[in-house]
Amino acid sequence: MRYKKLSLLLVISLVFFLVVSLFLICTWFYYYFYDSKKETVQVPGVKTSVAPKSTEPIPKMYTASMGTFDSTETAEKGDSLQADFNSKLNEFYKLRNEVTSMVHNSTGPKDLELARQKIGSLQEKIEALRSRTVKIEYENKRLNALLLQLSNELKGQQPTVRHKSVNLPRAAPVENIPAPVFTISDVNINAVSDKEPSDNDAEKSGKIEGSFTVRNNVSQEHGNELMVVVLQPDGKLLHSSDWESGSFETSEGKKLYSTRIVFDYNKGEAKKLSFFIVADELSKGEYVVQIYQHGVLVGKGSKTLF
Amino acid sequence: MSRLLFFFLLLLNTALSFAQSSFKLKYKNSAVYAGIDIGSKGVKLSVLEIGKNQKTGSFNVLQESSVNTDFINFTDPSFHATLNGLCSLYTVASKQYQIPSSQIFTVISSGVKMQAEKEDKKNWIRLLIDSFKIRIADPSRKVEVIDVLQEARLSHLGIIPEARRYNTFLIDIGSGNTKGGYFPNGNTRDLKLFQVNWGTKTVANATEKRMDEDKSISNYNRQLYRVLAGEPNAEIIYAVNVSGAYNMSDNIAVSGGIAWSVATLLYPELMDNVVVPVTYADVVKFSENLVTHFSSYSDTAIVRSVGALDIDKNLVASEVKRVNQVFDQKALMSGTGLLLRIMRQFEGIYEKKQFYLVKNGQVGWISAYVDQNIGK
Repeated sequence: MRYKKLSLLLVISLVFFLVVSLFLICTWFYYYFYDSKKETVQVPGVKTSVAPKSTEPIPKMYTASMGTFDSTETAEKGDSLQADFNSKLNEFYKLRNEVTSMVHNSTGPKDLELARQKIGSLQEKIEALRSRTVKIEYENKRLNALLLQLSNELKGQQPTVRHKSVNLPRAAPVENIPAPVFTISDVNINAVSDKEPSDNDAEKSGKIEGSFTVRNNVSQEHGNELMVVVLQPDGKLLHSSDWESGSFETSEGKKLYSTRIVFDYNKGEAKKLSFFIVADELSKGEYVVQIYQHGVLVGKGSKTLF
Repeated sequence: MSRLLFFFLLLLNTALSFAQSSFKLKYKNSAVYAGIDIGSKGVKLSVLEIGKNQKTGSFNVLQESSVNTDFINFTDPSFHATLNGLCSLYTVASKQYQIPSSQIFTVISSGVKMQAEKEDKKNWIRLLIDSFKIRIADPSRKVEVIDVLQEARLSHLGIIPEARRYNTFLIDIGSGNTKGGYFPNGNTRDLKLFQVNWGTKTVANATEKRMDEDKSISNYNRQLYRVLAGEPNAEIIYAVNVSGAYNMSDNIAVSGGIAWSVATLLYPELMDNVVVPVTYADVVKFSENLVTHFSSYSDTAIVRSVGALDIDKNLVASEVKRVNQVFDQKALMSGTGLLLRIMRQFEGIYEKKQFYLVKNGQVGWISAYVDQNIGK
């Protein structure tokens, strides 16, 4: 008999417990879906701040507060400060659940007042999150602008380089020009005359004769090319005829040459090369000879005519 | 017509009066000569400075003037326009420039001779010469009519310096054809003639015909490639092989309008040079850029590219503008394409020829004619 009573009590308790559990689960489901529905239907991702007045009804206040906050958008944009943001967001969700529960289960003015305070706090958190979002957006924009500026600068430099290569007299761009392999020594120039010994007298001389020695231990090639630049005392180029002179590319830009020497070379050989430039008239002063290979100055000399 | 000619001459007189005082002679010991040639398109006066100690091929063009008269139409108006132009330019040379009559040379070009023979109008040439002599009151005046071979020979003598005479092949790319030659036997009597019936204009016209509705540059480039790969290519290969120029020449000099244009746009820093050395690779690159970066050949872009060099930027700008006025993008593309086809025949793997672009080729033959007739 005693066992019977105990069993009955146990069954009743169990049923009661199940009923309560079922009720609680149903309530939770109801609020959960009701809440979600409200968010999606009533909150169409409002961007402008809608600060609810304290005199407004609490459900409306709550809805308005929720409406100012787009959790998905914020979460996506705040990726650079994800950890901090997540913690703030968790606080927010916690508070929101509390408020939701209070709004819908309120029984008296005290609860409503408490709910109002919590909503105020919720609004503050929303504002904090929004300002964080704005900061992140600003930072993103700034970094994007910086990135854009840098890439534009890079792009701006590329056409300039290309443009320069377009106008190069020689096809190879500067960066593709091979390094010079020759060393130049014994650069010697003299002003001479075909008619009489001129002794570097400018007035008597009709041409400039020059010579130098080339050597390299690296390569043996045919058709090596050296550009000879002869500068007059006034800094202008001296050249025999248009058929002899031309232009070439250096790292400093285009240069004009007086004459071009093309020669074959055997590795290790000390080869003497010579050139001459016929001039209509020579003026007194210092003449400078520069020898270039692949646009790089490899030899230099000078002579003063009297 | 005569009114227009009168105004033209008035303008010319004014311009020449100004130019006369501003002649800048290049050589120390030189004399000024004038050559007047009657060509297919019109009459041209070239005032030349020829150094007395200079070798042939070293001349300085002081002034060029021309009147378009279309003499080869062989009509009364074209005849009178040519006669008036000839007499006026002669008067300008003798009166304005005060060049003695013995230093003024008058010649009728091979183009006129060829067309007159073709149309049986040789009497028009005789009539022109006689009328001219009467007008200037100089019955003993010599007006020679030259043929194609003579003209090609004179061009070579006038353009190529003596030091390079026997190892240089000269090619003149004209608007309607391409001609040239070289001296194979070490003398200037025997000229090996080279001729191709394609010029810059004929190539451009053939390309335009293939364009259909798509007038874009990329389509033009495609069609140009097809045109050049066809008949012109076959003709060029044949003509170069027959000439035997590959084995006999170290230098290939190209003259004509397209040579002047390419030289000016590619080497603005060599604006003062009448001839510029060039490589095949340079012209290939230039040809590609005409399609892809044509704006880099505007006067402003080119002046910017020569910024660091000590050259006359205004001269560069005006010359580049002149090129862009004479040749538009498509004309430059077709001319450069033809130039490349010719150059390719001389671009060997082992033996490299030196290419030159000649800018003043148009005065070459008359200069040589003047030079050869001095003192005769």
